[in-house]
Amino acid sequence: MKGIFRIPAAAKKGTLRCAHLFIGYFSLVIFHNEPIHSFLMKRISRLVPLLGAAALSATIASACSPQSEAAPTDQEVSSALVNDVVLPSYKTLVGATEKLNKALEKLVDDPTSANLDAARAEWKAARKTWERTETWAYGPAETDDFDPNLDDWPVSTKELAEALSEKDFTADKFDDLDTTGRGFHGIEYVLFGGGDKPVEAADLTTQQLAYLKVAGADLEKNAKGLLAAWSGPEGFGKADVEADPAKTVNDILEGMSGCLDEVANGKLGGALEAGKGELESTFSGNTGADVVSNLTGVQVAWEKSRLQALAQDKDSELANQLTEELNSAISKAKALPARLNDKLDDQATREQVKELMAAIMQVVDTTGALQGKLE
Amino acid sequence: MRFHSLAKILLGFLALLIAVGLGISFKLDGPVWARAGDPQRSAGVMTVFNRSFTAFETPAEGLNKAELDRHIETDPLFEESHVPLVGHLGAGLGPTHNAKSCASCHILNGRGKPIAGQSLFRVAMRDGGGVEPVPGIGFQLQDKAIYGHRPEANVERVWMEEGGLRRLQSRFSRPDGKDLTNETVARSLRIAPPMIGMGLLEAIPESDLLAHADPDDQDGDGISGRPVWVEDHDGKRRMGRFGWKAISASVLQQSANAYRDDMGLTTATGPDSEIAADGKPADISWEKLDGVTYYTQTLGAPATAKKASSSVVSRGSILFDQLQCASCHVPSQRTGINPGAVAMALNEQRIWPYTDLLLHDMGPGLDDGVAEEGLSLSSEWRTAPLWGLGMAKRVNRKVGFLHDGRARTVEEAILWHGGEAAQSRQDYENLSNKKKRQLLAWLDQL
Repeated sequence: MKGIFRIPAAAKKGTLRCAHLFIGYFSLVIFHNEPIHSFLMKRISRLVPLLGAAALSATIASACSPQSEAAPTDQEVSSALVNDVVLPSYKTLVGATEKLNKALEKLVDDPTSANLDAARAEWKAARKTWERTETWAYGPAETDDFDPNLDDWPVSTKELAEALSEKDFTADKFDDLDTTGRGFHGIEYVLFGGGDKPVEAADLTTQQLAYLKVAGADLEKNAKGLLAAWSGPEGFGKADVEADPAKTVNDILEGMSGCLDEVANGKLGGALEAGKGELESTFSGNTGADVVSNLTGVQVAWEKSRLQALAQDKDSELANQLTEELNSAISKAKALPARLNDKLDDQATREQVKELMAAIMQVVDTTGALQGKLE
Repeated sequence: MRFHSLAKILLGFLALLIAVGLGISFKLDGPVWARAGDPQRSAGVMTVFNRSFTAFETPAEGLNKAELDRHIETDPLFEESHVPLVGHLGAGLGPTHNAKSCASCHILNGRGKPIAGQSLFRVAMRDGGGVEPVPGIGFQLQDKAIYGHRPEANVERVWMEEGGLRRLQSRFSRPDGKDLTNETVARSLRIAPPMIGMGLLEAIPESDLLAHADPDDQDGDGISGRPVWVEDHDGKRRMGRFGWKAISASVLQQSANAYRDDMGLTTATGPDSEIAADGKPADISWEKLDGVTYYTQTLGAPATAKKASSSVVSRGSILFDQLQCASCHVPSQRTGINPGAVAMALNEQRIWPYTDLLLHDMGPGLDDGVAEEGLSLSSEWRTAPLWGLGMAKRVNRKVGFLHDGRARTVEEAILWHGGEAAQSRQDYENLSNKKKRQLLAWLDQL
C-alpha cells in the first residue's frame, strides 16, 4: 500500500509541458476564432478609456495620500511592540511597585491615617500601570505564572483570615498562601478592607501590617521578574516576538481582542450578572479605573507599535474605524461612576455599563475584520 | 465556418480536461490517507483557522449561535480560580490539591510545563506491578495544600541529561520528614495535555477504534494496540480515550476526575443533586460540571499551517507512512452521528488527529512503573494525538513533549519511542539529515 502511487520525479516535468501546451492551444482557439475574437475586441475597446482613467486616478491618489512616511514593515512593528510598548510598560510597572512597596513600609513603621491614604494612592497608581499591560499578557505573564502571582482573583478570604489571625505573620506563612492570597488583590483586601466600610489605620493589626510588608516586596519582585522575562537576548521580546515578526501583527490583534473581550464579558458582564462581589478590585472600588487602563493599553498597543500605521496602509477605512471605536469606548469607560461597586444596583449605571460593553464588543468585531484583511 | 469553430472549442475543452486530469494524477505523490478529504481541516468543520497563541482557546468553527453563546458563557468556568470555602471540612478547594483552576495547568488550553503547578505525579507501589495505591496518598500525589494544611509530600525535581535526552529524578519528602523512595513508590510525572478537539475525539465510534486494535499482533506487523475499558460516570463500560493512559471514557468523567483529584473539588452526583459522592454538599454543581464539559467539547483544533497540496505535506507525510508512524498515529478518523450531540458540528466529520486512541507498549525507556490501577501496563501509553503539535511551543514557550514533558523537541520525543515503536525510531535514526528535516517540517506544520 505504501507509496504505490508515487510517480518518478522526472515525470513531474511533464505537468509543466502539458500546461504550456494547453495554454498555447487555448490561446490559439480563442484568437483564431472569429466570433470569440470580435466579441473580446468590442469589450476591450470600451474598457480602454475606463482602465486609463482608473490608472490615472490611482496614481494621483497614491501621490496625494496623507502618508508622510512609508508604512512600517512587520519587523518594525515587532520591534516597536517590544521596545516602545512592552519594555517601557514593564519598567513603569516596576517603578510603581517600588513606590508602593516604600509606601507600605512607611505605613508599617508608622500606621497613621495619612500614611494609609498615601499607600492606598500608590496601590491605585501601581494598579493602573499593571492593567495597561493586559493586552500583551500573552507570553511570560501567562506562561511563566507572573500574571497569577501579581493579579489572581478572587481573594481567598478564608485562608487570609486564618493566616492573619495567628500570632505572628511571617514570610514563611506568606509562602504558604496560594496566589489567591497574594498580589495586587491580597494587598487590596488588607489595605482597603474587605467589608463595606474601608478599614481605619488604627484598626490595622500587627499581623496585617506584617502581611503588607511581605506582600509589597513580593509584588515588586514579581514585577521585576516579568520585566526580566521580556528583556535581553534570550528574553521573550528578542527571542520570540522580534524573531518571528510575521506572527507579531496577528498576535497584537489577538491580544487586543482578548483584552477587550475579557473586559466586556468577564469584568463587566460577569459583575452585572453576579453582583458587585464579582467585580475585580471591588475592595478599593477601582474597577472603573481598571477598565480605563485596560482600554488605554489596547490603544497604546495599537498606536505605539505602529500597527495602526501598517493597518492604515492596507485598509485605511477599517483602521480608522477601529481607532474611532476604541476612542469612543475609552470615553464611555471614563464616564463610569467613580466607585462602580456602589452603583451596580442602580438601573442607570447598569445601562451605562451595558452600553460600554456594546461599544467594546464593536471594537472586537472591527479587530476581527482587520485580522482577516491583514492575513 | 461555424462547425470548424465549434470543433476548436471542443478540442480546447478536451485539452483542458486532460491537463486537469494529469494535474490531479501528478498530485498522487503522497500516501493514500493524504488524499481522501482535506488534512488541512484537521477538525473538519470545527477547524479553527488560527495559528496564534490563542489557537487552542478559540471556540470551534461550525457552532450555531446558541451553541457559540453557550461556549462563551461556560468559558470562564475553565479559568475560575477556586478557593477554600467556609463550611464543612474540605469545602471548596482542597485541602490538598495540585492546582486551583483548570487553566493554571492547561496554559492557554495547551500543554503544561513539567514544573510544579503545571504538572502532577501519578503514583503507585512498585511491588505488585504498579497497581496498588500508596498508603495515605492513593494514586495521585497532591503537592499543594490550602493554608493550615500540609501537602501529601514536597517534591524536588531534577533533570538528568543522558546522551542528548533527559530524564526526571524526583524526591518526595513527607511532612513527617520521611522520604518516599524511588524503590518503593513508582512515580509518573504528567504534564497537562492540550485541550483541543476533545468533543471530536469523544465522538469517534467505539467500533472504529476497536477495529484497529490488534492486541495479539495477529497481522504480524509488530503493532499491537489495545483498548482500555473503564466504567464511565453513568456506570456503563466504555473504551477509555482521555488522559495519557486513556483512563476516562468521556469528557464529563475526565472533568469530574480532574476536579476531584487535581483540585480537591467534589462534584454533584447528578443533574438533580446538590450532594457529592461523599454525601456532603458538592463544591461544583452539576450545572458547572456540565458547563465545563460543554466548553471542552466545543473547542476546535487548529488548521495545519500548510495546504494539503504543499510539498512540505507530501514529502513529510510519505516519510510518516514509510516509518510506520501512521500505524499508531492513525492519521484520520471520522465521527459518528449522535442525535444527542451537544453541537451538531460534532457529527459526521472527517478529522485528522493522528491517533488510534489505543494503548501501545512504548518500551522500557518510557516505563515509569505506574500501571493506573491495572487499566494498563506501566510501559503502555495511549497514542498521543498529534494535531496542533506545531502549535505547542507557540502557545506555551518552554513546554516539552511526551507524558512528562521530558522531550524538549519533537525530535527528542521520536528518539524516546521504543517497544512497538522501536523499529520506527531506528528507521528515523537511519534517515538522512535532509529526510529528517522533511519529516520534522511536516510535523511542525500540524
